[in-house]
Amino acid sequence: MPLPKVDAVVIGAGAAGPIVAKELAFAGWRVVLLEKGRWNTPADCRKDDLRNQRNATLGYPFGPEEEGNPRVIVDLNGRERVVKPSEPGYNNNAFCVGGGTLSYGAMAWRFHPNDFRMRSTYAGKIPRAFENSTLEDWPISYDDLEPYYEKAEWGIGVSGDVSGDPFKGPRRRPLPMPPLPPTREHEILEKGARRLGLHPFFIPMLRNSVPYNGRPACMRCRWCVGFACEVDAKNGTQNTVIPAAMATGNLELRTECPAREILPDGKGNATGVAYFDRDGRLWEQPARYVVVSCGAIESARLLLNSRARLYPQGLGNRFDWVGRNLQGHTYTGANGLFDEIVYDDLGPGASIAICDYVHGNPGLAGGAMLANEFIRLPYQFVSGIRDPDVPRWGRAHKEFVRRAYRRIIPVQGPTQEIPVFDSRVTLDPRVRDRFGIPVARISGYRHPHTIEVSEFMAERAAEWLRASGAEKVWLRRAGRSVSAGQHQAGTCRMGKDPKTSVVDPWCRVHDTDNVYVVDASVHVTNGAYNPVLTIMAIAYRAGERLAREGRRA
Amino acid sequence: MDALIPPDEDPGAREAGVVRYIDLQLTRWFRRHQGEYRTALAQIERWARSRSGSGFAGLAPEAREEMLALMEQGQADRGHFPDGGKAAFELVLAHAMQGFYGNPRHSGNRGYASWKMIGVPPMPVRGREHYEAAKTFPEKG
Repeated sequence: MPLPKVDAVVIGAGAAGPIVAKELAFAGWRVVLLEKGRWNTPADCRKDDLRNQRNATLGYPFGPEEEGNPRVIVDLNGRERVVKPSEPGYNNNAFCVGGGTLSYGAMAWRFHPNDFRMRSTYAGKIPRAFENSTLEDWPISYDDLEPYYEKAEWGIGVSGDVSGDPFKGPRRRPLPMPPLPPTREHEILEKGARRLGLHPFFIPMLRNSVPYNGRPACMRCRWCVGFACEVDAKNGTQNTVIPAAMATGNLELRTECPAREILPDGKGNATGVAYFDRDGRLWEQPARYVVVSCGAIESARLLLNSRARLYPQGLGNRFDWVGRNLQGHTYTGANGLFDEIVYDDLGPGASIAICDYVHGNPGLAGGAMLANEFIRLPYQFVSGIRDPDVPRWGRAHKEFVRRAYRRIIPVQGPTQEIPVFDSRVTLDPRVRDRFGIPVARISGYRHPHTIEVSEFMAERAAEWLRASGAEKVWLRRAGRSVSAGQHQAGTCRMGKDPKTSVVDPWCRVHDTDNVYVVDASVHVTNGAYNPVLTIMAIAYRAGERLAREGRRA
Repeated sequence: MDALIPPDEDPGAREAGVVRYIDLQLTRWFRRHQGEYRTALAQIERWARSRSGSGFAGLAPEAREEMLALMEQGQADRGHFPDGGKAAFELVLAHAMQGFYGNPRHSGNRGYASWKMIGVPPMPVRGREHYEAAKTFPEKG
């Protein structure tokens, strides 16, 4: 059933979509924002360590629903499994208003300038990184994004102090909020880093350290990463751009409305979106522009599910690039057991980082930022951290947990992945979701050089912990399975050549005039950092340009 | 359960309500595991009787630990366990740890036993949470 035509329909209210919607709504555009999930509130924090976005032992509170949303995973041996959201391999992010930004850890990194030019930086120097990979430069540079990084930092709200990071790209303004006071872990690790001649500093975070934007400061509880903030001190799109855009009267947010397909006009462009409402009724929302912001897996799925005479293999998929280059981050690091108590029960926990190993590592392409881990809840500790010399159960294990829980510091970092053409999202030929729409099928592997870099990073983390006084250190390594999850990226690559990319430098799908993909799907490479601030900056840049140059309905 | 998380100066799995956690979740989120539990419990019982003539519950702690260690390594009697007991062991171990170290709202970790053991303060009493706290700490309600 068709509805009145609007200027733009944005699909997905995660990190990126609401920023585009806000830029358009502020310019006077009539915008509809569709979100598959619900709108949660700070009261949905729940403090449940067995049911949150980082531990789905008893399911995900912020989506997707356990039933009716399967995916198919093809493992390294070619075996395929149908998985539910809480099962291993699903590669979930959240499905709700705010998306991952409702419950994330909220690290607010700018990528390094060289993260945008991986080919130029390493071509001819590290040939291994280019074998069977699609490692490439972005068509835009750090300098192109710099003003939009700043806009995200001030508009959404970032605290921290990056003045101690000599490796960062140039910036015009400092962060709007100071860092939270250092934790005990921070002080211990800072001494160790200085001993090694490294450059530690305060992690930038999308979290209020002082009252900001009408909401209070962080109260430093331990129910942080994986949870909605109980006092609303964590800054996501759900408590910033969405209410701001709605206040203009130009934005309508429709929740529990999953998109089925982008509707074709028969000439290669889109006329709008077909979607289901919460009662399962099918609607058509006509729009002058369609913006796809569903995350790397679901954005690719939606394009592939949008077929027409002119693009039988899916919208934007003429050269078979939609869904390709699926990547995330390869997290490795080390755990250090200390003689002294290092736990001070102060959230969010993660506090100190070094960027000494982001680039310039001998014989390697790329690297990672290293930081201390977020605060560990007891079951999370027990299920994830164990001295390899201690048994997994019984008297000795219990004794280990009792003594070590407050004496372990984990350090880890997101190794920048070398993209692989065959790590990808396709449509499963058989399995469908509860609306009968073909589901995402995820297959592929990590590039061998990614594993090599991640091993190097684990050693650096161990070195840092030893220099900080750990009495025992053990490594956390990574496997070869394809990674996506919360940092999923790469499936609708940004580029100038339509034969080797999906969207142009302004996020417009090459073959169309009026379809945009704005989220981490467009990342050519995913940086050596948590990606959300880059996703937000790209959204500000694409949204501002569309509001300025687009023609309204 | 107490073989997996034994009592010492702090409560063990049984006292902390791990069995209650598993029983409750088997009627809710873990419904899909009901069959596995029925099969595994019967297998363990038959294996215990064939080893020593007594049911598992009647064995000495050392004998139970020995059986669990064999299951962990996948070396339990294959006449009773096609996979040597590995899958059943992993399932029960994961659930036991959840019930012991997880949030008491799910009926395990009675009285925050494990959180007290590791020295982590329980939930702060704040906002609507005080309704839950009143149930957990009646002396403060």
